[in-house]
Amino acid sequence: MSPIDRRVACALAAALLACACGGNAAPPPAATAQRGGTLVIGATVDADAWNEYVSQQTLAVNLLRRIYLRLAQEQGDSQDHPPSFAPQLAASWSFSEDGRDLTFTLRQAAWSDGTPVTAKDVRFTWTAQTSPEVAWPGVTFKEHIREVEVVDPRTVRFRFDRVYPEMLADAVEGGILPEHRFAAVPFAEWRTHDWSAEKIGSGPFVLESWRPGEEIALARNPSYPVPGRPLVDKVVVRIVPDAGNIETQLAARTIDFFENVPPQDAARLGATAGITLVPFDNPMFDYVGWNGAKKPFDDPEVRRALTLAIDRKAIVEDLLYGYGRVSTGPLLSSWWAADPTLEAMPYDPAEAKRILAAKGFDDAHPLSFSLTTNAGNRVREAVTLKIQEQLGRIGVRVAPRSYEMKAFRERNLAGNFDAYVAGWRFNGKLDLASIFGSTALPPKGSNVVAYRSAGADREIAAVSSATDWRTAKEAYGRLARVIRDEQPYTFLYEGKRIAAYGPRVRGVRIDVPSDPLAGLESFWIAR
Amino acid sequence: MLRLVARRALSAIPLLAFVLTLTFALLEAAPGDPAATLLGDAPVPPETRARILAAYGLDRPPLSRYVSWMTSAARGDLGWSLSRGRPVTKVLAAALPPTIGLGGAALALQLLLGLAAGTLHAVRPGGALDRWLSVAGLVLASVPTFWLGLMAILLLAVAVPLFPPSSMHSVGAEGWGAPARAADAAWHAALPALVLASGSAAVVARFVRAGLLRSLGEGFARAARARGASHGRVLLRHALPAAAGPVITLAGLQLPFLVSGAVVVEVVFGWPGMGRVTYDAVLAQDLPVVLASVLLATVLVIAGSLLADVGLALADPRVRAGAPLVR
Repeated sequence: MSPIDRRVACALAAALLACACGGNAAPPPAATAQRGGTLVIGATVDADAWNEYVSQQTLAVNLLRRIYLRLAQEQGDSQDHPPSFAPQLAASWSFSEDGRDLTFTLRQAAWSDGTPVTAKDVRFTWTAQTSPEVAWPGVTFKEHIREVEVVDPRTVRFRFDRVYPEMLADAVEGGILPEHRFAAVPFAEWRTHDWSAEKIGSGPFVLESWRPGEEIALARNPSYPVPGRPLVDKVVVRIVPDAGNIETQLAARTIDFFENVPPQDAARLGATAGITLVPFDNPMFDYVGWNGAKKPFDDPEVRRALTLAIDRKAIVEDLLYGYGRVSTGPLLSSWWAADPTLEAMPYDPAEAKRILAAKGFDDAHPLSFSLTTNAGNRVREAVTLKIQEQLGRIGVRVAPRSYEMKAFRERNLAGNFDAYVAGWRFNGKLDLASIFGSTALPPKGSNVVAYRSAGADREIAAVSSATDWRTAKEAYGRLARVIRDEQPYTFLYEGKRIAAYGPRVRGVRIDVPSDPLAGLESFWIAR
Repeated sequence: MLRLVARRALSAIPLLAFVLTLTFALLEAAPGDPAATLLGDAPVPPETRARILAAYGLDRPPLSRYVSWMTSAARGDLGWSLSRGRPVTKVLAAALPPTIGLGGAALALQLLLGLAAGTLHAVRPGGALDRWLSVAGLVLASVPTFWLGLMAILLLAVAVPLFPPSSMHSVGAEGWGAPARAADAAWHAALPALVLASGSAAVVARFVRAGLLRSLGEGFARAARARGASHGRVLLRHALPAAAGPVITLAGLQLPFLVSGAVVVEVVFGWPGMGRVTYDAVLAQDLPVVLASVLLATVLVIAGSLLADVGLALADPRVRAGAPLVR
């Protein structure tokens, strides 16, 4: 049997029979990184728009981040403190004495068409980010920036309305756009403009071609400075809507990298020779929201009892195939403000039964309620059934129901529910005031569960007024404990995502969970 | 003939309006929320959310959106695709050629394989070959296309890598010359076209078999045999043209699929055609794209059945002469 035959036979066997023909063998390390070659990425969805500020699609935004650089790039070191930032378009930055002005000095950089990147581009980008006509979903990053002032072509000053720990993170959020190209389109037309013709950039890659539904090609930007220049010449994203087909192509070595392996396929794919799995944190959590405006869910003790009776570890094991962790609260465990000593509520059905009995719920007078979720989300639908089974063991009767998303949302906003399963996804900004603040009830905010807590409000205010990250972290810690004790949500799990790469690829790094392609420049192809 | 074409064209207008209205009403009544598809679980401020919906006209009542789309469509503007960030005309223009290419190849394969298999069936009716072909045809016509597609990929793209497992071009093909690019596209189309054609070819073969057996019993076939023509000559020269009528009708009725695309095959093989565009648009509640796809498919259904009638008239002298088809 020739080597090719063996490879092919193994790939087929792995795909058909989930055979263990080689185990989870990581490719052998190579001594030095090699330049050149084309990296082929598989994706199940296509890009929706080639403008970061109107795109709602994660893949498109992550690719655009490689094309339009930010002033500084978040580093994957935010476990214990706010992330540090490495210079990108900015060479350096400094705060004024009163801490309200943040001044960036730009490095000598040019767009790929040769036009210099200037402070005017930075100001133009901020105007676009905050324009109501553009309606960028990330506009809250900029809510404390009052003005962006062009000091000279290479110096730009951000003026804030207050001092807080994440000023730098907020200032650098979003790629800087070339004013000389993007200003030609009025903001009112940005959402209905075809941006695919814009093929210049300041980053390591530029958009070379886009065949909708089939392929996106990024070419290395030849004018990008040598240190940090990507190792591969080209990145091709092949759009294949079927994840199974992408996995087959990973096994057949026609696709090199895939960042969305479904958890149920991970064991089989990981057992395929030459394929390496990389699980990484998904910045989201799923929860059960209890309607605090309704009895008996307005009682924190009842909510705590229900949490104690839900075996969240079993949900992670059975429904996420182990790719997740039990959530302790609204602060993601990978986030710097999370308190590692805070423990999730235990699984203690006996204690739950005792509390509910004390509240008057027993076999003769059982607690019964409906638990809703959005139809079509198979994991959440399975979670409602699992909770029905688990609470049934202590005599609580749960009626799971699924509603299509619009009806689900409308019912929740109108307070027309007992409990629901949903999730929050965070893209670097954690606005707990809009979720748990007593002034954030719909329609003003997203406090759908009508949570009113003087303690939580006090700590939310403390977080808002903190001027340094240590004070903020302490306030966040106290807030997390208040929420843990009062359980407006039962925090179920934080998810994980799984990337996979084939034997040709080296240098894979996933440091920033919300942006798995952040280390794309370091990927290289072994030949 | 011209009167037939004119009459059909005129009757198509109310039919189109009816189909589009029904599609719009069904999509409005169907579960789903384009805003949720757009924004997901991301914490978006309510006022920003409202502005995004307004930018795409999703804040307007359904009737207003429907009237607005119909008036624009009458002027040739099919609207904006919110899931693909491009005008719908551009989305369709990009998806049509791959679908026509794949559908055309599948149609040609289906007719070729169907005619060949149907003729082999009729060589010795009831013989071993006839029975084996019947079983094979039944299996091919019965198995779900997605399963057949996956098996074809595993066997012919992975186990024996004769064909690529997905997409329409090889990586880097855009830098090649036109003949190499065309060959590359044909190589990529081969497997999905074969999967798409296989089930229909089995149906065509049954039509051909039945037509041939009927024709072989007709007077003209007996006369040919009496003149000393061999069985093969009678089969191919005399019976086959007479048996081709239903196949032409069938082919005409398949024409709309050239444009509407084969959803399952396009999804399984990552083929960037109309089927996938429509499928994705339905999932994303991208109403302008769904309406435009339905408009195109309806026009093609009408044109296809018209072409089938014209083709039949050209192929069959009895139809040309206005004689009844059934005696």
